[in-house]
Amino acid sequence: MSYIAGIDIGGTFTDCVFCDQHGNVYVSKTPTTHRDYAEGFMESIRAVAKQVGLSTTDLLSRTELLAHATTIATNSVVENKGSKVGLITTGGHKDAILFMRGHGRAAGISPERLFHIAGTNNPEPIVPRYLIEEVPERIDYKGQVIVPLDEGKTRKAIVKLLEQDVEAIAISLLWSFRNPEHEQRIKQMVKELDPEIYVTCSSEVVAKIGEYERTTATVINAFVAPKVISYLDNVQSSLEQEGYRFPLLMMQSAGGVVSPETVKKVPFLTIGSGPVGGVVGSSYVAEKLGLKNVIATDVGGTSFDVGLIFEGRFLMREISTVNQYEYYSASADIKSIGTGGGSIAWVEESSNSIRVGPRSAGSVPGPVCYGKGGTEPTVTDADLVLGYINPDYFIRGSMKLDKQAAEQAIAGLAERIGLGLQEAAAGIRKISDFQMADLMRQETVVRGFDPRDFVVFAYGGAGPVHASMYAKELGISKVVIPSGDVASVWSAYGAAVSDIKHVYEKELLISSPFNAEFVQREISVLEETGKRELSQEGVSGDKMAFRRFALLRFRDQLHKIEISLPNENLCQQDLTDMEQAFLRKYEQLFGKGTGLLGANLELVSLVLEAKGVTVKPLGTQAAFSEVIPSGAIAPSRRVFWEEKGGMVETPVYWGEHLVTGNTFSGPAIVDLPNTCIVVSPNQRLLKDEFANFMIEL
Amino acid sequence: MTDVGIAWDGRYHAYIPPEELKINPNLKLHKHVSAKVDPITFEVIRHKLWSINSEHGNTLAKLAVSPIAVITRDFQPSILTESGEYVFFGPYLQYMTGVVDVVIKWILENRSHNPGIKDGDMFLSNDPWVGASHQPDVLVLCPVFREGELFCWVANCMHQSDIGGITPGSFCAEARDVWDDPVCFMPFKIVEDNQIRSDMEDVYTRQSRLPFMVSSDLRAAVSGNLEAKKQIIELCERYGAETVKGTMQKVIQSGEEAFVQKLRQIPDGRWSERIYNETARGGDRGTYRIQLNLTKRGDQLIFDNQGTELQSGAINITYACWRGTIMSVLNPFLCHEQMGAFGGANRRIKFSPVPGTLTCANYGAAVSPAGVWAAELSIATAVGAIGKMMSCAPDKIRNDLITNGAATWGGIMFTGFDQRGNFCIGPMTDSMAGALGATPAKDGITAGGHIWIPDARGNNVEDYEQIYPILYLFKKVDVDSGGAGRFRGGNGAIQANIPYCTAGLSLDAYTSEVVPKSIGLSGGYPGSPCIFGYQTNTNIKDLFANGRVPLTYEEVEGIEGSYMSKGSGVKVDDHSCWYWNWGSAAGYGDPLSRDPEQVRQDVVNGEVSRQAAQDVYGVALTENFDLERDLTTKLREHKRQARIRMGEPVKDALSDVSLYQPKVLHKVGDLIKVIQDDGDKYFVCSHCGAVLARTDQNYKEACLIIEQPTTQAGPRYEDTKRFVDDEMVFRQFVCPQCGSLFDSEVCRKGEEILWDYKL
Repeated sequence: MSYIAGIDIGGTFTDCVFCDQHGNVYVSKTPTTHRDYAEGFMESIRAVAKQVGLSTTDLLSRTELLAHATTIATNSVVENKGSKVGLITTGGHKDAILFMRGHGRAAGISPERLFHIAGTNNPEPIVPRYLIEEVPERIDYKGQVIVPLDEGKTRKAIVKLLEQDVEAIAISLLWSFRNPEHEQRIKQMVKELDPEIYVTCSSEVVAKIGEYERTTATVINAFVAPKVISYLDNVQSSLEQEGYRFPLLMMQSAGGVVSPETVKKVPFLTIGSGPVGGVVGSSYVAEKLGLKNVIATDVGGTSFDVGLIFEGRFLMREISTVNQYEYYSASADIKSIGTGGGSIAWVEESSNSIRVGPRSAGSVPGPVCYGKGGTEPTVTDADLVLGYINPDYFIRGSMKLDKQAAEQAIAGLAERIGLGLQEAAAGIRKISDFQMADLMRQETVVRGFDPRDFVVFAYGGAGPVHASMYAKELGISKVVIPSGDVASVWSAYGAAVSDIKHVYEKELLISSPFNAEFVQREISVLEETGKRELSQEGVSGDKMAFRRFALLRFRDQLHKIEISLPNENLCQQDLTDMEQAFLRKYEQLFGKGTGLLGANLELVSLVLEAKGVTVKPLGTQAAFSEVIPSGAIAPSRRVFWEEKGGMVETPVYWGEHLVTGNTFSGPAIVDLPNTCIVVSPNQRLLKDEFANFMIEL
Repeated sequence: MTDVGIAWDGRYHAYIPPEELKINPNLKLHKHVSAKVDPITFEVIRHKLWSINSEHGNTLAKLAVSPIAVITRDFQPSILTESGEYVFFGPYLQYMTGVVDVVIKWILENRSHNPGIKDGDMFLSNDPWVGASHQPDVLVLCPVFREGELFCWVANCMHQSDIGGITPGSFCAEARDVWDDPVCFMPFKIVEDNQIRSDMEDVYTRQSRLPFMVSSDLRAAVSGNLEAKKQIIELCERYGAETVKGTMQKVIQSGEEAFVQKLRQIPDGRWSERIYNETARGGDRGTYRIQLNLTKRGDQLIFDNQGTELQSGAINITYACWRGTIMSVLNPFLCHEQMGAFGGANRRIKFSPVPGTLTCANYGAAVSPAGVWAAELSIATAVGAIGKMMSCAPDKIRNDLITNGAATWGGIMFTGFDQRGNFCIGPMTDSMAGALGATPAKDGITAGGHIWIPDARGNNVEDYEQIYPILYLFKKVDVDSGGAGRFRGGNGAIQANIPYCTAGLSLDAYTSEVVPKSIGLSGGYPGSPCIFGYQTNTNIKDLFANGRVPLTYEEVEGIEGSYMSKGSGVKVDDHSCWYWNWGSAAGYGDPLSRDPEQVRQDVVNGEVSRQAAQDVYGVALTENFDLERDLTTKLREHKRQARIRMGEPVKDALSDVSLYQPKVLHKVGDLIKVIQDDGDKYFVCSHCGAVLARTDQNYKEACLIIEQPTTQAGPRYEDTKRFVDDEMVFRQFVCPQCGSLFDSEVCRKGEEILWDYKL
């Protein structure tokens, strides 16, 4: 018996999933150990080993693949607890990272705060001014050297930083992505002066135009590197001691895993990798189910995350934000709002209406029903009051929920606006569901998509509780709760099924007409790099897969559109097709007649996604049966249904005991160990052969 | 509110909508409002409307072409009721909020007869007398119909790269009058049956030096409106038009209620700010006063511009822009919780302008450079008047005021042929990084942006060097430039550029200020000026050849170019270099009351120099940056005493006032409080308890006044004589008893002391 595993360290819980050859899936949820993340990591494996009935060593020695997503890098930036970084940059430009383009105050903050300018601040600098050294040198936009690097002064600058005991050095010079010569030389000099120190160059981290976002990426990389590397070494050695024989694959924000060696070079790419795991997992299941367009939705305690999969591929973005720093990082494009189970409902006095969020009770104190000191009603409290959640079976019954306390909290709020308890609770739920639907709509419509052409995947602790409502609101006809209870640890599962993935980009910024030979030559260079790096990671040629894209825009316009290119030797016709595809897509996005025919196009960059296909878990091929096993029928409970006009005695099922082929109509509730599925009236639920729960709306 | 005899119709005088709009009765307005929308449905629809407008903004950001619009977010989407009341607008350029509703009301009154307002139409206008902020800000306005009735409006306003006029980029600094400015388009139908009219598009884009860009931006504007319209119609179909309208009305009413609740916590009074502009157009050496007065009575605010001088040169704005500049301060200061639902607050604000003035120009005046000078200056007066009012409010309200950032948008436009041989107009958007002012509770922020455009950003050096024929020598913080204060203003920045891979460029709409305009509050010092300079025949190429990139402008040697305080058409070639300083933000409160530890941190962080710590803040540090506490105390006392020695009494201070049972009513600024004693109310120094004046008197006249040249307003101010003939002075008002600094002002020598707190 062999296993494939994924572990996702989040802010509150460390989620772990192991899949065996028979399609059995084992899940654990253990507290994250902030003092030493590796401790919680190993504990989560021990928790699964217990379920499997093996020793940890036996389990790990039979594990073929272990993939890992972690919030360590994200946390060290958010908490400003990274290493002491020194930055070396072009003379006259040390303030670029401190100026933050004037957007540091507003970047990534919620819309509720945007107008409150007096209440916003820049984040603490990740590199203080006194640790930024300028060196005399200058390269122009063509990559030509205007002023050569002054090595004498550079040496002094490096020594000055080393004397201040910096733990890592970031180098980011203007135009280094066009000509990395100066950066490379400085790196070499740093190594000569201190062979041990972590040093990173912007041209190696992300070769893209825009010094602010490139420099932040480089500094963040240096900032998180020592911590991530020591953590990785630590975990790897623990794993080896416990019998694991393969490299620990690390999830990155681009939606794929990479070897530990690659992560050590660019550890900042692990920032935000947790939520990305969920989208990758959805993409994997969607492909098995033959679904091309998916809105992947994750409802957690404090946020609602949305990622899109269109025509089988999840959508990417080039700039991410962490702690109000905007930085380049090819990432799955996940948008987030502060609406989750812990979102607090409150009364807006002037309109005498209910608002939900963006303030959250988080996990501490958490919703009122957790009984940990929360006093303000939350979405989870409303879910409990309305009967959706089983108070005696929350996280396998390990935590009893206090329904009475939740009722009291909501009743207090209801009284203030003249509503009944149920009315107010249903209102809280509706407002939060509709906020989620509004974000999903924005994410689809703004890209020129119709949400009705998509299927919703719902996961995270509260995703299955809310999906049937927010999906219905958008006119969507199908919801998938992937792999049942595994949906509650979905990012860990996503890591486990991720392929190895690298994204390479070459910025060209050339105007049409384009020369096919030139474009082919540039893309070949990317492919060679991809092949080399994949094979260094042990991927054999037959497991490699490449996809090519061009980023195009109208000249003088800033908005880029991604067009895929054929995987063969490009000829002139391919480029003509590419231009036509651009025009079509432009009009699809922005409306008929918006594209200006005859206008010059600009080929901004070529992008190559290089994949190394990893071993995948097998699905359950359980026997098909329409008969619901008697053990799957749970005691019914009273649940609120708007369609029924109030609380109605509703059938409840134990999801784990339902079998493939079981199907029934709503209203119904399916209780799972770590979540529950709400099936509204006139909806129908089916458990499929992969243990997915599908709701037809 | 306004003079009855004046025709405020948008022809000669600007359009000011009457209380009752005269609309052709054939145009049916949707007036059916569901009286009671339940609180849940209300919140669902409210959020949806906000979301629609937010998506509209995203569409504009994604589709627009003009770099100035895309990078700086110089646009604004909005949703308004059938009669033009705001429901929502976005976190983009805030002074555009003063204009969209006005233009819609003009259209309702003037286009409902002929050619009529129909389903499928959109109107375009950039006419500042009808209601645009200045000609380059083009509005596209879309009526939304429901079953034959005008249900609401969706609209956007967006800055265009070039819309004509005598100066490329359309900030016509040398315009003599409106006929040198870009053409004004009174509202016309640009879209009929949801299609752009090609004849009208040609008329419109023909004016531009960059017709392709203008055409693309028009498509962005139309797409944004169409999608917003579609979604609102869907919303009506789902919930019923009456419920949606009921929600819109409730959004407005609740915004009004929230605004009133705040106003009730602020004492009644009248507050004023007075600032001087210099150089009305090239060659002129005059100074020009603008003044804003805010009267608060109960739950209403009234703004007037009494004291503002007559329209002149190219430094004017029209009514709508003036109103917008005031709203762009009210929005973040007093209405931020509304997330852009400003319609309700609007019901409690009246405007009473004097026509023919710099802030309410009549037709004929040049206004196109408003976005660089006049609008920002007007914002500065609004920050002053509104900030002074808020400084009398409880802490929760007062702490939301922010002192002035730069009172000029230092954005040079350059024109020429780029490195690929194409004609280009480049707006330098670096200064959007800005500098944020201080609040009564915290420091300002270096590169903290601007209050009037919450979500803006500046450009990257590399992006600009890629698309334009320029090279940056340096771009760095201007240490010590932020206005000093108990809380200091954010520092500004300095940069130098050279033309690169081009034969030469023309620099337009440059600014070199000598008169301080970014006035501080409660004794805080002004922000630094926006400064421009250039040299020709420089040694730059030699420096490069010798392996040096100059890191200061002083290292560049050449022939100093001649220029004015404001102007256009400076020619630079590839041996030239220009220098530019963005200007910083003003401080709040007396610098001598700043926590010495904070000053020490400032020096460590490179925001303030050791010298300024000593000279301005009275803080002494050891060589190792440790605080010398005793010396600091002595230094500060010495400085307070020096103020008393330097100060001249204006009038006799109140003497022999014995207070029996004084009760503190509220603060005024940072170091004054109003107390009530036996029926009388007095201004009292919070530091030493000196009774200054009764509240029906100008307390400043009871202070010692220190009047100095404006060079004392901050380290970057040079002698005003360089550009203006009037002698300008920097006045500070200090406590006659303890030397605490209460306030400051900048004015012509001999001018009356501004009575800015009438309580």
